[in-house]
Amino acid sequence: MMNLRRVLACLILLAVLVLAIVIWRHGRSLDPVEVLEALPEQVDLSLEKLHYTQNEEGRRSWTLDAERAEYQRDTGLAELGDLSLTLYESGRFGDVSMTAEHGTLQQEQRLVEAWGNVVVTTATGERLTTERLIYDGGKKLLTTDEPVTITNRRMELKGTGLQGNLEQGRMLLKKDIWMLLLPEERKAESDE
Amino acid sequence: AELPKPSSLPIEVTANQLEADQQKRQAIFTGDVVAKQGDVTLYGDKMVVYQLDGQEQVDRLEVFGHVRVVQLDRTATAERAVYRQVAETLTLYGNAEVHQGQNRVAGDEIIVYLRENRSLVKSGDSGRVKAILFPQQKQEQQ
Repeated sequence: MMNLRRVLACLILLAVLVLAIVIWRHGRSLDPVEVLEALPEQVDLSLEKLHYTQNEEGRRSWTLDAERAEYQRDTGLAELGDLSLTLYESGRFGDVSMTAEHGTLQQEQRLVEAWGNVVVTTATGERLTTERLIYDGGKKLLTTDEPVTITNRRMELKGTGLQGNLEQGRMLLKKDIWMLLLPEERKAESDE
Repeated sequence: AELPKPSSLPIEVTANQLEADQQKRQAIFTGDVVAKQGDVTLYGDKMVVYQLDGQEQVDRLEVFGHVRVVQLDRTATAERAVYRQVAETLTLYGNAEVHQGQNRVAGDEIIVYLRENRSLVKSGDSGRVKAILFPQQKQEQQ
């Protein structure tokens, strides 16, 4: 009887030993998976498809969308990729939209800086193109030191350095002004 | 061939600086201003472009400071000028003079009819109109 019990004990011991070896070998073949992709050092939060709305006096003032955003808590700055900014009810221009390849959002100061193929279009048909543009949500100002081109169906205007208040409908172009005023409206591409 | 009406021609402007005010429907150009439409070119220190109310069309251009207007062989100079493209007139104010070849007229106010070879010269209470006109024949001899 004693022999049988001893044999059984050996068998159990052997089984446990084999199991331990299998687990140990399996465990070694797998490198620990990077659970979280390593964020650049100064970035606290990395987002995709950012959607940010600024409300003022209970009314939607502007909306910022970006394909990519990297937020730094200490500076309060978000670096943006492929952004689109919509300014609602901007005076006589109606809704105004701006797109650009790169940008930053400083939330506290309500400041959006955009660069790289910046295009601004208005509901009333104006179109502005430049390489860099800053929108100050506090002062409602669009500013740049770069050359700009502004067109609508009757006019083409070029200059360098802009300061524009959309709500008041006032704009200053600082130098190198060239303008062509057409007697009639140009046909829109879609009309031709 | 009949000359195109100015209002059917584009206006090209160059300047150092521009201030535009949508509500006032004005654009103020300053610094070496040159505005060209068809055969008329305006030069001045400052120019204000006024749009017609409720329309995008230009009503008039007002030019200030060292004003000079050239149209083919006619040159006008003044302190201020108002160019009304629909009426096709150019009104000159302040030491206004128009030169055409050797002919010269001067007054306090001159209205130049751009589509006609005609000008109306007025003098204010400051003096009389002056005109120096050379008979066509004499002009060709010289």
